[in-house]
Amino acid sequence: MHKVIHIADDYIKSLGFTVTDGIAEILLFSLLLLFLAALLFLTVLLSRFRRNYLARWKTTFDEALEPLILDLLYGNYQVFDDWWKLPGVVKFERRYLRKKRGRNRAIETLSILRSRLEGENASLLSEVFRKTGLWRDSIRRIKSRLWYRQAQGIKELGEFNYVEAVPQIRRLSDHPQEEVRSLAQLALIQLDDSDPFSFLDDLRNPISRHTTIRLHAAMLQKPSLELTTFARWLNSRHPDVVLFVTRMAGLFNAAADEPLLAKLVLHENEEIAKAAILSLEQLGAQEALTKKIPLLDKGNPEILTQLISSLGQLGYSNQRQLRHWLWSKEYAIAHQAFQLLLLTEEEDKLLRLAADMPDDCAFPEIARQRTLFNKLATR
Amino acid sequence: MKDFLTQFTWFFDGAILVYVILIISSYLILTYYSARALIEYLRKAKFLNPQQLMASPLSPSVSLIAPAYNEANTIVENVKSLLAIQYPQLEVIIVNDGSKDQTLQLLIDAYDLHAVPQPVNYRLKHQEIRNIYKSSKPVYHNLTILDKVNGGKADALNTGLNVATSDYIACIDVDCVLSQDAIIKMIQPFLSGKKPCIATGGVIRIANSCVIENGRLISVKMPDNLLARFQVLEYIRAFLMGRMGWSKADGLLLISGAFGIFNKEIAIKAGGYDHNTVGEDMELIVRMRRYMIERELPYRVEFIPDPLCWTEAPSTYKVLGRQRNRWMRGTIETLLQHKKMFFNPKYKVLGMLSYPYWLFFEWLAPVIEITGLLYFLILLMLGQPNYIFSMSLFGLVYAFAIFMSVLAIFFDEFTFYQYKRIRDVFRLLAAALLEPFIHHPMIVRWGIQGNIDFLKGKKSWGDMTRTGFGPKKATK
Repeated sequence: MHKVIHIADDYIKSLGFTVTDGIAEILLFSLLLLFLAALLFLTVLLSRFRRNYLARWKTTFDEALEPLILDLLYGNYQVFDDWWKLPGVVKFERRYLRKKRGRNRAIETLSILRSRLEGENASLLSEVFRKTGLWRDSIRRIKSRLWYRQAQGIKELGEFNYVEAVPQIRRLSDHPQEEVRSLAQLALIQLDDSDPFSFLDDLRNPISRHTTIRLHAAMLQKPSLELTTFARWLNSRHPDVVLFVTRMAGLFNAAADEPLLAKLVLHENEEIAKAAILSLEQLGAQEALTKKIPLLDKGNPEILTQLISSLGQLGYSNQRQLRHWLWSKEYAIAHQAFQLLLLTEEEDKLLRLAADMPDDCAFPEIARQRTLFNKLATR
Repeated sequence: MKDFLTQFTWFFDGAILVYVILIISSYLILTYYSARALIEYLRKAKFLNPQQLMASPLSPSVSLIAPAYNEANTIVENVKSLLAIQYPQLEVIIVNDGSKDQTLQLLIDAYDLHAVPQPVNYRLKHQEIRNIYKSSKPVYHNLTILDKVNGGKADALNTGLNVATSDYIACIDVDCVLSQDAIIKMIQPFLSGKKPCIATGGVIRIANSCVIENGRLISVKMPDNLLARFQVLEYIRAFLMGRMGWSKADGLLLISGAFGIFNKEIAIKAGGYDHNTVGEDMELIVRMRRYMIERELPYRVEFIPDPLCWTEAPSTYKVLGRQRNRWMRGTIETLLQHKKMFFNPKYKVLGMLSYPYWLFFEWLAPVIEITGLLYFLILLMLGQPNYIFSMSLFGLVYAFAIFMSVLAIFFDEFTFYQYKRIRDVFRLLAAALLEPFIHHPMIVRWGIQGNIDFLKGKKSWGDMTRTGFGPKKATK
């Protein structure tokens, strides 16, 4: 490096300039930047050619695979092996599936196709996944140290219903990386018929809302799941597990869990308490919710607002109680109560009530605005 | 005198060199962070299934707030575009900020609106709401139009915040075109992660010359206008290589006002948008972050690099000048308002890195650049310029500018691959080579003007002239 800088110094001097310290370094660094820029641009150009080449290769691959799959799905073969021994299939296997790139593309294509099919046709594609040994690639991936490879492997094994991988996937269901953990839990619901939610027993990591959405979608897609009760986990020490099963109990109408859900309404965790109220609403448990009114009346306003909203959905119409909430200092509570009262009482009569209320109540402001907006709307 | 001049020259040359080295180093470190964040994002995005989120009753509701002021020429189409966004529980709130043209009437006619008596929880202060409108057509049940007395963009957004019924609010410029899955992608960080997310920002892309029909982006094209092309490069650098890096380093200070999603409760508790600044978008994020840090609450702010929001960039130097002038004043106002954070370890990355970066390399950069130029001219007049040093430094800055622009092209190519024609890549390269001579001096000039206008106390936004996405539209 020193030699290069020396040569640069000499060159600058030969041009007749006086060289101060560091000039040669600056010039060399500038040249290096320009060289790197040229290299990057060249990479961009070359990537275009590679992109085109890969696109052509994928088209050729899909064109070769497509007729074989159509033949399998609609060809009336008695047993799977009859199709598997067809010369075209053997040739395809030799040409493409002995290379990693071909196998990856095959998994990708079969996965897309499988997501669009149901029943026997979907099972046939899973059979292709097994017979061609593509599952080995997925198993290799879940053994990788890289989380995104593990996640990819779990996703594939779940999609192709590869139940033999359940023990390996279970080990990843409490993985520190959220994607891996979430996909493993999803795959267990898809694959494990005997105890699909066993991962909830000893979960330590959190269950995010995104994972909840994913698991709920997977549960909906598996009608064979018996979701009559979630009692096993409603007393779990892990708040996320309790929150998850509380939500599911309502969504899957687990009426047997009503007593436990009613207890959870008083849970110290606001999210759980609100979810329990919502689930009781989904179960139509008006009586259980009504009983909680005295206990929640002076508690967290967020939880009380949820309670009033849920009671409203269930047709609650106790005028005395609703008028009591109308006096609340909390805007949301007074507003919810007002909305419910509007279903049974005249608006003018209700709005006049505001005149007798102290200023720190929220309703006088609601009434004032309502009157103003009514006037504007009818103008 | 000559000794003094020699010593002063030596000191000044050294200071400029140190400044250049610092700015180059910070850009390189940011680029490294951005690259890591982009790779991580793309890996995670592979496992995202938007359909699950679309179909789920557990997806959180989002209120989209778009302020409109004198947008008569484009408002109906723009609202149609917003209503077409795919999201299961989306409330679209258009705030007519006292427009003087036909904006409101056009909306009433197009969407069959009628006034409704809907009370508002005034948690944030704003100008009076004249009326709240809902559509009579069931298909537009999620559309709410607020008509209020004019109070500026921040005021309009605060009104939207008070009226919004969802836990999350998406604030956008009404003339932006969002991709169909924009909300689905932007809401993701709120649904996962160890620390709760309080805000997400999205990439803004230049839509000039792109094909847009019925408020939807049909195909992406490189702008024909050279000025817009310079901005394409600028935006890729700023978003993919700058904000992505700051997000990874947990030091993001700005989420563009054109498109961002916020936790409504935190935004309101932090005080909502500030009426007294023209950089209300940056100011809100800084204040929300300060609110969380000062209360020792765990939080995070994320940046989504997908090209989700497309906007029309100014295509004349006059309009661009007004925009950059305003951006500079907004930056200065925000930095001065939160000067407490400067090198304050309590604010961690925000105080120790982000704030000084914005101060020295965003606010003061044009001032330092122009000072360097004046210094060279003075030496030239005194007959004592150090040609070799000046030329070397200029060469270094030019080479670095080219390198960063080509790196931006490289980033775009290997992440979202927006410009598919090879010709467009060469056009971007040409823009990269010309930018330091044509575009950059203008940016410096507007930066200086912004500083001067700030000192004069100028508060106005300045008119933004847009040609619109449709054929032959001209709005003011």
